Amino acid sequence: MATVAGAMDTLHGKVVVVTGATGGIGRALVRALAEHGCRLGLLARTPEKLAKLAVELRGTVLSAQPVDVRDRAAVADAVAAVERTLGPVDVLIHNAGVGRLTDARSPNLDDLIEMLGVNYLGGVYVLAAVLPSMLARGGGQIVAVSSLGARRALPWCAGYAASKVAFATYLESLRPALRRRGIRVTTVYPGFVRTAMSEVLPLRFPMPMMRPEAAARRIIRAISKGRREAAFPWYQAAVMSVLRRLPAWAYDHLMAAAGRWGIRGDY
Amino acid sequence: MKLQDHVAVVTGAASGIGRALCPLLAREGVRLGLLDRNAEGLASLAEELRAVGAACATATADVRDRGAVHAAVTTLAGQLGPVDILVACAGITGTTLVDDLDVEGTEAILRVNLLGVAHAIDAVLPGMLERRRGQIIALSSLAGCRGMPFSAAYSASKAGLAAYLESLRPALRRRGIGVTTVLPGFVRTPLMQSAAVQPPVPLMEPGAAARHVLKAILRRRRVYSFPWDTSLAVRLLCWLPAGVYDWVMARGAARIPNLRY
Repeated sequence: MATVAGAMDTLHGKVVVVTGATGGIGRALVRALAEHGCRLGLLARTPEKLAKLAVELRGTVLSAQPVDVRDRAAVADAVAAVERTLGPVDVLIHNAGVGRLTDARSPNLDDLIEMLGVNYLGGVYVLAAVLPSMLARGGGQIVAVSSLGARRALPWCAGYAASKVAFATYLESLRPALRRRGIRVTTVYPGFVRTAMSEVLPLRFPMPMMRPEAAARRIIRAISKGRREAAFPWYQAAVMSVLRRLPAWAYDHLMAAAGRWGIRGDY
Repeated sequence: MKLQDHVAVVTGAASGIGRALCPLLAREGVRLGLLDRNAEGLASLAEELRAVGAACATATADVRDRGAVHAAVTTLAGQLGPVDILVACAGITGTTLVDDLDVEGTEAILRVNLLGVAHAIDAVLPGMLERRRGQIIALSSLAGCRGMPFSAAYSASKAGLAAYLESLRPALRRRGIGVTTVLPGFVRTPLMQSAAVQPPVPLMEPGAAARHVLKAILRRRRVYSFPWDTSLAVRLLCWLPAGVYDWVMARGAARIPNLRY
């Protein structure tokens, strides 16, 4: 496994908090960050998975906190516990995400509430927990793992798109103000990545999907370069930026056709 | 499209654009189900509407409360008939500052502006699907097209709402139900007055805004934004790369007095 040159590496020694640390992209991210020599605050919902990951990362300085990001008080406690062990947070990566399909004929409100709670409000909670110390030190970086699905709302994922769009917009609102205080905001928009979330998609054809490790590399590159936004893979990002600019009527016709062609079941 | 004898449920009917829209809908012959959390406001609006001979019924409910919204819609439909049109106007705003994220406020804004609309859709959709007709109109905002300074929670909720509606639209349209996302600019409403930051452009009157919303309903538009100048400006902002956008927003925000940006 390639090691990363410590002296040149801007991430070396940084305290990085990752939510959703045990999921598909999360685990790949955490492993890569450990290789970069980061000190890791790992937040995830399932204690057993988190314990397993911590064992796997033996030798890395870390603090693992089992927490549901929908619980604001627990998030504040978890971040405080990380800061007690590792010091103030340099980089926050809100990667925890829930993705469920929405049937337009009967949009499931519990799913919507769960996705908004994890993908959007969960991000607000962790941000609120790390921001005071970042503002006090006048430095830091906030990273959100959004989705290309936030570039334009695709059919059959109304709740997911709403939650991802909400958090990306929230950070965009704060971005210039945070930058003036020395805090960078990086929003990454991954396309299809082979994780538990993308396995459930009712696609009729084999969609080319990135490996989580490749996605993690792209995310880390965006973080170290301090990019405001990064979308990948390039061809899926290109498709979305075309879709983004279509007028509503054209978009609807295209999506209706694409739905018949590409999706199993009656969307 | 003729709206004569259609039944419309209007949320947030007691104030702002919702209130201004109700008399216009009544004039089109729409039978109005008025929904708001403000009972007094509803009563005075209903009195006003009945004085001009409009058919209307009222129900008090907070759109954050899923059960209450269902009950209210059931009551209204019981009095007026099955709902053909939903106009979701209920909305709130608040200020988000880097030094004070106001997390509770953010939650409340999300619950009203996005979940509130989802609750109302949930209540009317089964009936619309059964009859294969209907129209769902919701007020998002031009401030939701891109993240606006001081308005992170509001922009996020309105952007999320627009995405939610856009995603549902193709599938519902195939089943005879139109979805209309209205994107108003700055309108002189209680919501606008509650915002800490006043816009750099003159405010539109609610009556004028309501006429735009009516036009969007009559034409069954998918997305409808107004006024044209603010809409054009926002569309241009949407084309800017993130770095340039930030620079423009920071320049604008620095001119706002009394708030640390």
